[in-house]
Amino acid sequence: MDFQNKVEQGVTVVNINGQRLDASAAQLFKSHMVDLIQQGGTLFVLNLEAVDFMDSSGLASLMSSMKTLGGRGEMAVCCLGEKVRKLFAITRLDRGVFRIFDTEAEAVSALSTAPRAG
Amino acid sequence: MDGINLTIASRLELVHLLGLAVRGICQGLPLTADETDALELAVCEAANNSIKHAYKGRADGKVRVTMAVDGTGLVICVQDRGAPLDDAKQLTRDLAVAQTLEDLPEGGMGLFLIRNAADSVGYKAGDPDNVLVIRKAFRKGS
Repeated sequence: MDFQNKVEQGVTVVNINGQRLDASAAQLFKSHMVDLIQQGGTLFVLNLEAVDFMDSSGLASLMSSMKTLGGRGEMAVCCLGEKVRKLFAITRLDRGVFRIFDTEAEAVSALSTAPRAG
Repeated sequence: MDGINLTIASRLELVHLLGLAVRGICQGLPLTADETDALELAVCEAANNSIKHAYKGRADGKVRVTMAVDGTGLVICVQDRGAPLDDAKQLTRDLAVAQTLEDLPEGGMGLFLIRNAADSVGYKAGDPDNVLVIRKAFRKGS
């Protein structure tokens, strides 16, 4: 698994290049996000288009990243496949905790126009 | 009851092999695509728990999955010889709906997902294996 970052309209888009965001990959993802946050990133879109399988450790790595970011910024996810979307629904994380967008463009647009935290 | 045994070393990077095998078997049984997805996830969660919590990350253990089919459904047993689950009641707890960052659950989601996939879940600690039993009935008419 690896990650590609790009900045669009002040929003860091992180593409997760790997089919599985699971217990064996979660730590790597978490470390990547901590690095980006420590480098000053505050607005993030996580593009999960390539992710076909996510488990609770993968979800926990997303939540941990959000907690690391705290109130200093915002994080959204986009391009969820059916299985991943179902996981968010089953665990009820689609009810206000994560902002979920169908497309990357929608997510970037929403975050770039959102009032900045702090 | 016919069945199959699958065994991996207690390494997280091998768990996906169990998931793929479970998926393949479930696809040949009278289960829906949603049920198959949920069972693949449940077995991966159970194996992750064995590796992370029972073996505490040690790579020298084994995680064994037994899948057996009878006329009414599928029984999946996930076994390890590590430390038993601290509190088997965790298997029956519901997951709170988190509205804020502070409410986000730190753990327990894996067990919730296991229970979500199953019609019933049982757990037996030690002597010598810890065994998590996941039962899933075949739907009528399928």
